[in-house]
Amino acid sequence: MPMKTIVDCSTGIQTNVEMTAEEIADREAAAERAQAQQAEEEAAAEKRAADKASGDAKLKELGLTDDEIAAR
Amino acid sequence: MAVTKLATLTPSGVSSASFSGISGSYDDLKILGSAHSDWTGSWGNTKPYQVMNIQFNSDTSSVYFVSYGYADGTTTTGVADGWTAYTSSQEIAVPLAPNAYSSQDDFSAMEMYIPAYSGSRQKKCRVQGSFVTPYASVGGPNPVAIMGNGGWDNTSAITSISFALNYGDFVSGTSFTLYGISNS
Repeated sequence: MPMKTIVDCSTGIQTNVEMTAEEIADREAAAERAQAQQAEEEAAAEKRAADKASGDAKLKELGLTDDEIAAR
Repeated sequence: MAVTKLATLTPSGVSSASFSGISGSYDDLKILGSAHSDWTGSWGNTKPYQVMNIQFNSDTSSVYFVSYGYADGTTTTGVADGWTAYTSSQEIAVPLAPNAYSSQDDFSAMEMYIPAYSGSRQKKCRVQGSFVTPYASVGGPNPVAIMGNGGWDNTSAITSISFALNYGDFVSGTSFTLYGISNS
């Protein structure tokens, strides 16, 4: 059974106790949320990079130099 | 201003660590900590670190919010940066726990400040931290810096604070120290 550490600030005593079934389920759900959040952030970053590359290419076709594009 | 050390947590081989029985005798709370997990995988299959979930009073029914900026990497290795903000009914989740991606991975250095933690308004906190993972010998260096804030839409006094990992356990050397801040 997974364990957790608790320190009681009124006594300073630290103990290790078993996590409850509910706490274990909460942890598994948190892991799923973190995975989804990370996937969302990575997808957004990839889209930003693709949009930037596409926009830069179009500006170059209009005659802007690399320095002019970078200075925007 | 007076600073009083209330307690130190030194979790090892566990995935969750909590301060309980926090007295309401102070104006603010401050936590200094350092964390590392034994998880050998990665977060989202790409990141050699994971979020640390912060909960107040073991509450999983009120709304928490988190908003943080991050910078990850260098101009040599490539920089990812941005801002993330979201709400949750479970926790304030901030990426502050490097994993055991390699034995050379860093412990995070984190700091948290909670003003008016026992007052009658909704609670908020500032959270910041940094770590380096991995080092140059394993493809880095990849410094990560986090600066953010969290909130808890609850007017109860904070009497317990927990830090939990999604994967693996805290390793020896992890510590969190809680201080009470008195303004007078």
